[in-house]
Formats: sequence, C-alpha cells, structure tokens
Amino acid sequence: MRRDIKAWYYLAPLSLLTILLGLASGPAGFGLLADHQVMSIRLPRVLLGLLAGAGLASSGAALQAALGNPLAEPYLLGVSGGAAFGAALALLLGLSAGLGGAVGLPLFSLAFGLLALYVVYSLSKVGSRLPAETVILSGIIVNAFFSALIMLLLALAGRQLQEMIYLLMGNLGMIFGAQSLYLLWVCAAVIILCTAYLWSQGRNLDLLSLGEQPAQSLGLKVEKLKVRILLASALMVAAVVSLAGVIGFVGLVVPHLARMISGPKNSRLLPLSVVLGANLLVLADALARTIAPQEIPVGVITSLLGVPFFIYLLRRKKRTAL
Amino acid sequence: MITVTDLSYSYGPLKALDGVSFSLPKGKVVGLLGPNGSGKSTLCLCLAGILDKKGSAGEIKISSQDMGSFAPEELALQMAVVFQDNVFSFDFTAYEIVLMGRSPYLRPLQPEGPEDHQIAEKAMRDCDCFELKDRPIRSLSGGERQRVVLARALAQATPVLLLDEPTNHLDLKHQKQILSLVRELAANKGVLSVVVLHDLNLAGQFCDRLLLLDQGRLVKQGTPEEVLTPETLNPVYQINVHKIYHPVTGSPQIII
Repeated sequence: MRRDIKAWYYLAPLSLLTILLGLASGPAGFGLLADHQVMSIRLPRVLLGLLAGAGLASSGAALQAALGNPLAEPYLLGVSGGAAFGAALALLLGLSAGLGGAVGLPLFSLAFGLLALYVVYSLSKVGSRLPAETVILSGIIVNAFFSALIMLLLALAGRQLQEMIYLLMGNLGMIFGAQSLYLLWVCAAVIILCTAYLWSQGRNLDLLSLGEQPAQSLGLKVEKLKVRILLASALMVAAVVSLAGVIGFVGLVVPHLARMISGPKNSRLLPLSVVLGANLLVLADALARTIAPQEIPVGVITSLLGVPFFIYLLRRKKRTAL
Repeated sequence: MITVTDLSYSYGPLKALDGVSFSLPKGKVVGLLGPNGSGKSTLCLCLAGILDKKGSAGEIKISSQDMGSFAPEELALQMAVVFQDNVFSFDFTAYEIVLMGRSPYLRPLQPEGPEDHQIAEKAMRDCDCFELKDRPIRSLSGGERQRVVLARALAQATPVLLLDEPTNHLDLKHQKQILSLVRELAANKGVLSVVVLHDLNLAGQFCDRLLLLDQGRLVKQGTPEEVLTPETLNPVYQINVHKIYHPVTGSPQIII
C-alpha cells in the first residue's frame, strides 16, 4: 500500500487524541473536560491551533513547491514578519476592538505580509530562476527590516505594548477579545478555501517545482499561477498572524516531515501536511500550557523544535549539494 | 512547420541573435551548431517561446500560426523542450518526472489514465531508463537524469522537439541511442527535431540539415555536406579543421 495512505490510518485516531489532549490540558493540569466555562475558552483555542497549524503547513508546502526551494517558509521568507508588523501597526492605530479589530487588523497584516513576500521574490530573482541561496538571503534582509520596524512600533507603543508583545511571540490564547470568535470563522474560511485551491493545483505545483522554464514548456502560465499561489499562501499566513501572532518553523518542518511519508507529489503532500501541522501545533500548545508554572508562548516551543530541524536540513542539503 | 523571419533577440544592450531567418519542414532532424556564446541556446529558448517578449524582434510561425498567438498550454501540445540544465529540488521518482510530460493533456485534479501510463512507460523504454523508474531523481547520475528528462519530452508526444544539448553527460552508447531515436521519430511520425549540438561529427551523422550560428548571425545553413567544410568552419571556430568521410556511413566528419 502507498505509504501516505497507510499514514492516514494512524493519523485519523491520532488527530482525535490530539484534540482531546488539547481540550484537557491546562495550567492546572489535565481534566475539566466537563466544565462548560473552561471549554468555552479551550474549544476555540484548540480550533485556532488546528487552523493555524494547518494554514502554516499548507502555506509552507505550497511556497516550497512554487519557489522550487525546500527551504522556503512563511517565517523564513519574512511573510510572517511583514504580517506581524501590519498587525502591530493596526494595534498601534487602535484597531484592536470592534470592526477595526475584525477587519482592519487582518487587512493590515495581509497587506504587509504580501509586501514582504513581493520584496523577497523580486530581490531573489536571478533571471527567471529563484536560487535557494538568494531566497534565503532576501528573507533574512526583509525579516531584519520588518524586525526593526516592529521595534520602532514597540518603542512608540503605550498601552498597546502588552498586546503587541503577545502577538509577536505567537500565542493561541485569543487575545483580541470578543470579536475574535468571529475572526476565527473568517480565518477558518480563508484557510479552508486557500488550501482547497492549492490542493486543486497539486499537479501544477509539481511542475512549478521543476523551475520556471520547464514548467512553462509543460504548458503552465507560470507568472500568473505563481502570483495566485503566493497570494493564497500569504492570505493564510496573514489570517493566522492576525489571530495567533508569529509562529515560526511550522511551515518549514511539517511539509518536510510529510514529504518523508508521501514523497514530493503535492496532491498527496498537501493534505498530509495540513493534518500533521494541525496536530503538531495543538500538541505544542498543550505543551506550552503545561510544562511550566506559567504559560509559554507556543511560538517559543515551535521555534525551539524547528531550529534544530532546520540545521539538520541544511546539513543534509550540503551533502546532496544545493 | 517552423518558419523564422528576421528574428533578433537582445538581453538588455547585449545582442544575442541578429536577424536570423530560416524555415524548417516536418520530419527532419535539424542541428543547431556554433561556438560558445553564438546564440544557440537563445535561439532555442526563442523557439520554445520561453524568453521575455521585450527583447525580441521578428517573427516565429509554427504550423503557419504566429507563435505569440499560442497560449502556453497550446504550445505545450506543439513542442516539447529539453533544457540544458535540469535542477531538481525535490526527490520525485524518475517515473513521476516522466509522467509530468502528460500534464498538458490533463485538467487539474484529473488523474493520469491508462493511456498516459502506457505512453510514459514507452517513452522511458525508448530512452533506456525504464529500469530507473522508482529511483529518486536526485540519486541519478547526470546521464541518467538526461535520459529521464528526454523521456518526459517524448511523453509529451508533440510534433516538434527542441533539444538543447541532449547528448550532454551521455556516454557513447546513449548518445547514439538518443540521436537514433530522434531520427526514428522523424522517419516514422514526422516529428521535427531541433537539436543543439556541440559535437560536429554527431551533427554530420544524425542531422538532415544544419544551421551554423556565429555571434548571433546565421552564417550558413544546408545539408551536413554543405555546412561541414573547412571554408565555412575555420573562420567561425577560428582553427583549421579537416574534413574526412565516415568509413561506414559516408557522412562528413570534422577532425582538428
């Protein structure tokens, strides 16, 4: 049997377990599944974890294929940084409550996420190719730029400082008050639609990963398609950032894990990445809530797990030659 | 099949092609020759419709229809291209790579049918790489990869093949095999192949017609007998060459 199909037999029960674990774990230890008040907080949190993990993973998988670069990821490419800057800017402008928070904040984070992606894309393009090295370098530059801007905002912030810091650390704790439940549904719709679109483009993503010229000679409208795919990826990242802040490395690690099981064919890889990403983030969040007396931002956990994995990938790449 | 009229191409200030005109009928194997940097690959990319329209002037017609009027998905049914470098970022299996040659025939989400698998398998057997089908593409040697990429182009089943140095990385056996295959496709299916070659002797032996480029200009076109002469080649390659004839096939051969 195909390995990815076999993996689904394990993943289905595992996902249920993950959700139960996510619902049951809290700062006070496990339990309290029956308490309505606790559930009214944890259920959206687990939902957000599932969505954010799924969105980041599918965005990472799509970016890797579309740029033909296995090190592409929304966080490393500066998309998350750009989106975070947009969200922080919205907070500074007082767009955290009411309609402003529900519409303004995600729009700001989308706009700047896209801007970051566009800058990286145009900086790293050499002729019609996007070499691995230049993509990573441009990502670093754009990230540095937006980090500086975020510092600036932090320095300017008054009472919004707390909110902004939470946002930057990556947190599933639903920090934006009552309208965030509504935002959660918008986020869900965005992630489901964009992932479905990317999945429908599975074969085209395969072709794109061969490089622009072969992809075009195989009949793709390369530029148009790339723009759409980058747009879908950035949309998902912006949706995630506006609700959960910057969560690094999920978009990098998960597609690689999934690829080990399914191979690089995107029609198989994407669904697997989505489910693995959702599981991973909910588990990481459960960990974040329980391992220390105080809650740790989940972004810290994913980065702690992600960095060694990134190093492993780089070392392996060195051997197979970039 | 392909008619090129007064084609020029520049990369910014650099003129890579300068007023090239020729016309190629179907069922022929056409060799594209010239020293390094003479514009062979640029011409190949122009014919493939890949290069930015900005730098180009002149006209390319395929089946008497203007190149610009083809959408990429239509062009992919007209010609298949093998590029000079093939870089793979992900470990698709060789078979998956070849099957991608069928994608111009498939809608999104439509799975490959039995016919597509048949064609892909035949293409791999023709290129002598079927036994590699389950190997990850990045684990293959340069020559093995080259054969897999060629098989992908064959799987596209187009009336025109554009091959940019297809014999790169190939050993003698596979050089002969691939070029014989191209000849066979020309004879049996009327496929027009445009092949960039560095090896003048392979060109002399396997091509019906040769186009010789130098500094972006088409300096000579004709049969191997007409093009492969010291008078033509010496000024282009800036050395003295000698012409002999192949003891078995009688085709012109160039030695230095």
